[in-house]
Amino acid sequence: MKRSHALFDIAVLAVYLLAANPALTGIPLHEFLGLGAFIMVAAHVVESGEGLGGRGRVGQLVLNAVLLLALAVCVVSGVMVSGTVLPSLGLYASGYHFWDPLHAVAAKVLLAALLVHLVVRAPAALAVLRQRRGLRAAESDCLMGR
Amino acid sequence: MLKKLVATAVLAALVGAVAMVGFAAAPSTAIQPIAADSPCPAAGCASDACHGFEAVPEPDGAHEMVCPEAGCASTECHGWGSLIERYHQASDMSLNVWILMPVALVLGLWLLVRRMGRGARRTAGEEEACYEA
Repeated sequence: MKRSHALFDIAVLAVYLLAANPALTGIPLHEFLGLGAFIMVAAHVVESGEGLGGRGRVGQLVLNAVLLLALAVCVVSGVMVSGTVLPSLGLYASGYHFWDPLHAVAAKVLLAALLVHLVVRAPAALAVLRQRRGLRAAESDCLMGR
Repeated sequence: MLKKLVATAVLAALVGAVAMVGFAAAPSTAIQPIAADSPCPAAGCASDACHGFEAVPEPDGAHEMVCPEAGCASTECHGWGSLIERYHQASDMSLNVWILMPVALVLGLWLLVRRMGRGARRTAGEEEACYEA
């Protein structure tokens, strides 16, 4: 993992956390933040394509499947209950009472799975960031020594 | 590169599949352009003076609401409360906060304990070095 990827992942997490709390941001901002978070998460998924799963990594594969499915349900249902993004495009969606409970459940599953993902992956990202910081400290020590 | 393409395809396919399953499960749902006679997606009301999300009227004997379960339209709909209190509103300080708060608390305490432990170790090391000197 590169340092730039680790920093991007932290930014994705920050945007997601903001989008995951509509009670704090208000619904209209939540809708736009949610779309932004989806685009960033999609970029993260594509960038991490190598680590989606494979032989001997069943647990990781299952977790990633749950994450992707919850993300897909959350985004589609979110668009279908949208009261700001869709109308801003001159559109509206019927079926609010079908999609709204789905959106709430998918959001909770996504959050829970994401916390597990975070616990599993954070050490690797922190190691990359720490390694870089260690290198920088060593470099400055060398310069001071001169 | 191939795995990245596969990841992109999987994500796009999942979003498409969820939309298709959803539209199949609830055939009445659709995305349509807003027209003058478009009904409110929650209440089914097609008044040309839409009150918007911020000012849903109290039951007044004139406005009707269509029940999403039974399809019944009534001026005394028992689901009016959910329209006023829940539609287009964050449900509450909800589970997200109840999950995120303890996680933030545990992480914060863990970082604090780590930092304090490191500080204590450093102080002890410096003292030892002084004694040795």
